[in-house]
Amino acid sequence: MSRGSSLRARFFFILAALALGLSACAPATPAPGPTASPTPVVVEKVVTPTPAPRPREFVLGTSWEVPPAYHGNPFAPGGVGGAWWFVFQPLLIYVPATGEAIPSLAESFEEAPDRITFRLRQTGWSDGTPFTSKDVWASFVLMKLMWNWPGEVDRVETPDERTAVIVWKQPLANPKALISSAPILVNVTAYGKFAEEAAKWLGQTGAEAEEALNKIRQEVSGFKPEKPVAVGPFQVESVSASEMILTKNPHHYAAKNIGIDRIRFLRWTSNEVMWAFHLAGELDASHAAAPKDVADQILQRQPKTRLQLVTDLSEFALLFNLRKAPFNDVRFRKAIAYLIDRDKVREISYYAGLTSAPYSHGVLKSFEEQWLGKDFLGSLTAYNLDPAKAEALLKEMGWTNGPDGKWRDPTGKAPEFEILAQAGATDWILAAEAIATQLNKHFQVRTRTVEPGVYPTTLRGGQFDMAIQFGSAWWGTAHPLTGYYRLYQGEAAEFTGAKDVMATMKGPQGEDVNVAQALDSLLKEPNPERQKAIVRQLAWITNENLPVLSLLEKQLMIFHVDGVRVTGWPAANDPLWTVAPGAIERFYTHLLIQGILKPAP
Amino acid sequence: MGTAAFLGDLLQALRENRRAVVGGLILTGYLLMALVGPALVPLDPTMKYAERFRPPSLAHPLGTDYAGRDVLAQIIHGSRDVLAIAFLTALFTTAVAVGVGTLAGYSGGAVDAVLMLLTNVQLTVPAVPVYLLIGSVFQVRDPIGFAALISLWMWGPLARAVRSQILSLKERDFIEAARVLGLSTFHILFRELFPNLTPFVVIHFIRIMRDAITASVGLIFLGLAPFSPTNWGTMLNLAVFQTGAIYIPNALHYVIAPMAVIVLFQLGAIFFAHGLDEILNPRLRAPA
Repeated sequence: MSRGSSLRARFFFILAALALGLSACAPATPAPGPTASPTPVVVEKVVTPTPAPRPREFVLGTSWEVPPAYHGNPFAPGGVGGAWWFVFQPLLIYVPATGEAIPSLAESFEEAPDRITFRLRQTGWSDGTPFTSKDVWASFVLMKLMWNWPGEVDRVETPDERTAVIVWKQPLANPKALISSAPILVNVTAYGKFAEEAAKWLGQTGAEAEEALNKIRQEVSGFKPEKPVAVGPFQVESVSASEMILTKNPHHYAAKNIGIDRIRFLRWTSNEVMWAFHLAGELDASHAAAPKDVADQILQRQPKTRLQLVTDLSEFALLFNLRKAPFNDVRFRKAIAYLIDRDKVREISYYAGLTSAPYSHGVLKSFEEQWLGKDFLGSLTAYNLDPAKAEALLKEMGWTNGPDGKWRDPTGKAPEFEILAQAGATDWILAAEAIATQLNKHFQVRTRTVEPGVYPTTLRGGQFDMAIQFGSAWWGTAHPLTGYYRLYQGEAAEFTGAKDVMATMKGPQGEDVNVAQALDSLLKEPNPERQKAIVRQLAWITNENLPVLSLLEKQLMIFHVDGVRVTGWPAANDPLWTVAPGAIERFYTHLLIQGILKPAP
Repeated sequence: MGTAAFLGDLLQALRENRRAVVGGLILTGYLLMALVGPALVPLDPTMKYAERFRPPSLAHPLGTDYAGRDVLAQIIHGSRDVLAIAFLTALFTTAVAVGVGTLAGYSGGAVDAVLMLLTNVQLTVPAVPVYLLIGSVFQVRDPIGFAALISLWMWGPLARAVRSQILSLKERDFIEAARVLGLSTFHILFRELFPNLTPFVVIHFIRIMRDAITASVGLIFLGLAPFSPTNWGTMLNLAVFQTGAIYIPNALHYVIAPMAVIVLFQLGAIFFAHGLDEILNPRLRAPA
């Protein structure tokens, strides 16, 4: 027998054996029995059970601690997770595009220079207790205790059960934006004992007070209820490693107005997982930033998906480590700025962004006109791609260009630099890589990714040359104060070291500007024109000293599906979309409470 | 038998073993790619967004990447670092493993106990936390440092295997005879024992090279080594996770190209290692 026919014989043998095996698995055909008298045939009535109505759900992506680590205390690490803005609700919603404030947990409010008085809605927590002004008080006390935020609030007064008065330490530039970002988190029933104790000590100084406050902080952190008590429209029903289910809070004032029965969260581990969910039609909305080709695929494969671009009120930036040479020399930072084509970085890393070029003044691109104006912008240094200007600056510093085209420092050494990016942040990694590619013509530059858990620590510790991070960010506030605070006092300043090395800077007229004092003035200044003057001073300092190089204004890419599970999304030009930055779930919740977003027919 | 005669026999055996020949050819191809490829195919890192994800063509035989750069040129230029890391890792790992295994097996007693305790610690403690700890203290900047980091927690299995071989070999008659003749420990180790270990070690050397490529990709993404855009693992990661090429029909070539070179290298290493095993291991050698 030839080899071929042997193989064929084996194949048919296997086929026959398989057929035999399968036939053995089939139900046996009853053998015809002996002819017998006909027996009555019982015909069973086939009852088709009425299918249980499909829950009218809204499917989103978010992250949370996997059980058993999951818990419901908003003040302890790992608590609540992405359910946050569905189970907690602010007193009002601020719309950055219009400056309008829409009452939320409050049914109305009155503003005075030093306070806002809120008339609270009659609504209830998910544990059945009524919502009162004492809950507002407890929430703000515990926020101050645990986060030392919001520092602008002096006290919360509770003249009666349905009236809460938030009193500021001094008049504020934009108090409604602040209130919009501070949801009511706890009720006095569960957390009152902590708030009462904390209130006795907050505001006091000295070792005894600090010891007492630390003790309360530990007690609060150690309190781990299984689920959060919700004052928002939804409550946590179940949490697993892959899904979190929220159902309606039956005591919420808008429970009847909300057409959606439940929120189903799929686990958001990374952007590409969300892309896959969108491509498969599993999600109703997400803001997973996607490269252009992926976004096109999603829109093409799921025709009911739409893409809304809305400013995230934040920007990506290249952070410089101002503590170390050569980044501590402004000429070197400017040289770097002249060597990067920022529009190319935008194309590769975040095509939906708005390039920050040619400036880096700390005001978001889409607000340039409003705060700075064309004339002022013309007075700033423009950092377009210009290797000749970079060369002049580097030569002024004593650097020389080697035969390989790479620059050498005054000691003759060709330095190697690293750009850090957070692992998993796809757009940041691509931005770092695009910059490294451009700078590699002039220096040895490599990208290094760092795990998210240690990324902030690495930057705070100054263990970097350059890094991709948010630069100026106005999350939710739509005001430059937040961005400048971040650049000179907040997180970005801690990363770059600007808090220490840029405390006093020269202003546009050569005057000494104490940056912290300028920020304080901006915080307290109610007059819009005087605010603009301070912003311009800070913009000039930022652009001429480059604590960071702004890369692009981030625009949220909100993929949303209309007509599958939900319908009624706002029109593309609706200012409500601008509620999304900083807390997109707050935007979704607002749409549900208002009955704008409804189940699809 | 002289070295020349041994090599001649080895070459003859290699020629007769098809698996080894195929594996050898693949590995030689990779070696040539790393040595002469970069000189023949220049790498232009300029980003041309409008030319991204172009399909394979005469101008770009493996298409272009997310920034419009030639994929083939990236693979060729990446091969040097990838193979250098793989080779150096295998070199460092083998050196440490053979040293530890030989010392433990030949000395016995307390030395053996201490060295095996260390080996067992290395085998039982997971590598990633150790890499994280070391990577946070020392910065990896070049292939040598990278290979040293990977080797640090890779030598255990081979050290144990070498110790077993030594324990077995040192009881053989020819070693006993060497001892009776009063030959030095140096002679026994380097002239009697090591030649018998060589085939075993060579096979493991190739396997370690293969494992090092996989480990290097993991370390880059833990942030313990600089991100190298032409590293094949990095290319694959960029394709699958960062740029979403896996979801874009026009871009599948960008996913497949680095995957194919990694798989082909692994295949070549496996074939060559197995072929060598068959040739050098008398128990596996086919009867003449």
